[in-house]
Amino acid sequence: MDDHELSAQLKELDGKLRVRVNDPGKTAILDAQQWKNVFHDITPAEIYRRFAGAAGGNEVKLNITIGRDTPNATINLFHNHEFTGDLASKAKSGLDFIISDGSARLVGADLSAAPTGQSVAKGYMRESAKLFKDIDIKELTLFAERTGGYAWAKYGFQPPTPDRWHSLQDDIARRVPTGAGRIYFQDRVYDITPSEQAAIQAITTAKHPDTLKHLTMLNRVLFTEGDQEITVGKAALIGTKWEASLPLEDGNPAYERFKAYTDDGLARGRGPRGVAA
Amino acid sequence: MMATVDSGFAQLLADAAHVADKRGQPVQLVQLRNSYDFFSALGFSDEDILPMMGLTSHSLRLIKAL
Repeated sequence: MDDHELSAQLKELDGKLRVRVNDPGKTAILDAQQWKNVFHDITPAEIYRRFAGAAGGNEVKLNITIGRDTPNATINLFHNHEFTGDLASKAKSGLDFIISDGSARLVGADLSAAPTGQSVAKGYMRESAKLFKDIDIKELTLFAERTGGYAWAKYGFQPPTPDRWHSLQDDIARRVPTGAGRIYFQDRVYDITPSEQAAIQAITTAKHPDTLKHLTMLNRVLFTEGDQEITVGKAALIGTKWEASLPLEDGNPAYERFKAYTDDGLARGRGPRGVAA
Repeated sequence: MMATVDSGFAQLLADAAHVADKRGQPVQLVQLRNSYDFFSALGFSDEDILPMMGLTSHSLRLIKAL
């Protein structure tokens, strides 16, 4: 892609995808080499096509800022919404990523104002990770907290260093004191079985954070909150705060797990139904 | 730029994974099998694992058949 083709594509995508160069002097003009420094051979039209395909019919927009002399970038994927009536207002929601030093970081995600659903959320994550992998980004990182303390572990994210893993293990162990047969969650106490206690203890003493995902598979329901079933695994992880990393490498168990849970189910058809209770 | 990863976004992902586990598509069955193997290796019996992972007898058969 040369300068002419880049310019033509951006003109075609006007109002849907915008690209600017990060230049405090505001004098830099985007050229094809700057684009290639970050996105290699993937064109703006291709990027837009991928995210639009995951948007579930919603109109998605992209703002991309790329470094003038560095392979760094920010990607802001968003929806605009206008609410009418007595509470007329405008809202913006979406995902924000920073690409820097060979890794991508999700720094903001909010689809609350968007008429989207689960498939759009996982579709955006699937396409984001795929894009990053395609441009040789090695890992996707974020800070997990609140419901994310559970959800990101479910999707294969792990603490990136032994210290951070041990810190998360300590947080979980405080909720499930050794031998107590109980789990403390949001100022309440719930009974757990000896098997669950032993399984959690095995995870909170394990050397490798690869075991974290198994905690999210403790699916016995402790209680229901609205339409949410709070399982043992959720009670162990919701509200934990931890630095999370996902290696973007085919064959890596963490990334294979991420792909499994962000899979749209279209490529390989539907499997048998009614597996989990 | 938005400042944080909103809890609602993580909730959407958590709900999607919950649905995926229940549907039991082949790619998720592999993940269930991985955890089944992990808990088995810890010495738990199928009778322990079934309620722990919220599985039905039918689903356990599917997982073990992988």
